[in-house]
Amino acid sequence: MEELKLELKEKIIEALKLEDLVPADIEDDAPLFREGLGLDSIDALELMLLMEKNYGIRLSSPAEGKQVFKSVTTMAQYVAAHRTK
Amino acid sequence: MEEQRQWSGKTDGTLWMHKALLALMKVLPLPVLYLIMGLVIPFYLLFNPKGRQAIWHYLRKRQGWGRVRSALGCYGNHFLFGTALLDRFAAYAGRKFKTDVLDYHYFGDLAAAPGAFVMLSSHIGNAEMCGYMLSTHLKRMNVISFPGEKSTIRSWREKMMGVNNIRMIPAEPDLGWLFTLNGALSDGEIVSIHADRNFGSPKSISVNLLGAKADIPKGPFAIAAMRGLPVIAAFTMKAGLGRYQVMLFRVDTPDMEGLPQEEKMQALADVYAATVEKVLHLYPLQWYNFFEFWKY
Repeated sequence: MEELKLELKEKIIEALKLEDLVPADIEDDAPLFREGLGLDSIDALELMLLMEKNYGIRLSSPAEGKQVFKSVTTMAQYVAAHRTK
Repeated sequence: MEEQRQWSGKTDGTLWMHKALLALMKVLPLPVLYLIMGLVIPFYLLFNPKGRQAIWHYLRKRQGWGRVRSALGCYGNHFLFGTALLDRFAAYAGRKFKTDVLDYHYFGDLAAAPGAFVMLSSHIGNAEMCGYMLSTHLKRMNVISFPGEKSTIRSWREKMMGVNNIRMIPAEPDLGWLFTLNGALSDGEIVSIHADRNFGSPKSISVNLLGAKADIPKGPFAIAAMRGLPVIAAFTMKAGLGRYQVMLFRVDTPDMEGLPQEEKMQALADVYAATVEKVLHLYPLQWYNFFEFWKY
């Protein structure tokens, strides 16, 4: 799980072009949106694409999606359980 | 974006006013309602200085009109906006409008081909009527809308849209609507979005529009660029009494393929701005952004 979290942080930094950050700057349980990393709706769509391209996960349910994108930890747990790639 | 560059997303008026208007539509001809509305406009202009001033600046500085023509233009602009709103209610009440669609193939070809595409619209002409006129059974159209609209307007709209294979996705403040949008894109559907309003992200792109810089939202162009989707722009312009003309443009071009994402977004936004200019040269009074759109 720790490896997957690190991989996700690297992919988030790359996809969102957060060049000022390194994986260690992103806390596992910090909120990704608004407070925490302060991501917005465009970033959210980038993360959905990241999940689809890298792990074969298609997110279309608002209730489920909001839970998945709470933090890097929730993303990693979801990827581990649902990945097809 | 500062406060004056926002719109609450609500149609003015109370529930009984909307119902009364719908009832009036059934007994009075539409031109009579236009006439009554036309009598009220001078008062509206008097008590809505911000909106009036924004249109005055648009006509004087961006269209280069003289003082007298601009003053008359302010009235004409508000009158046409009023007729657009009345036509919307008339459509809810079941009225059909004559429509000419120019360059339908831009829409029809993409609707018939597999895969999602983005349809950009603006607060120019009568954007809502566009959905009713361009719907297709081949693909569902998902319209990103403001969440604050009153439930009656929303239900009338949903009734109209349901029969036209259109789904509204209200951009609620939480991020839930983005997952519905993502599902629509993955399923190869149409996403219709205003390219002159922010939905969930304050990021913008600077474009040259009618000779001056203006900031337009980045979101609509980001949706298209990140997935490499085709993009069209659609404008539904009032072309006469009971008549509309839908103008369609292809926004993405083959030379944009392979561009880095940021450059592609800018290129899409530049082409979109050029299409807005073309439409405004033909229909200068149908510009309905009642706030200072440009960086003067």
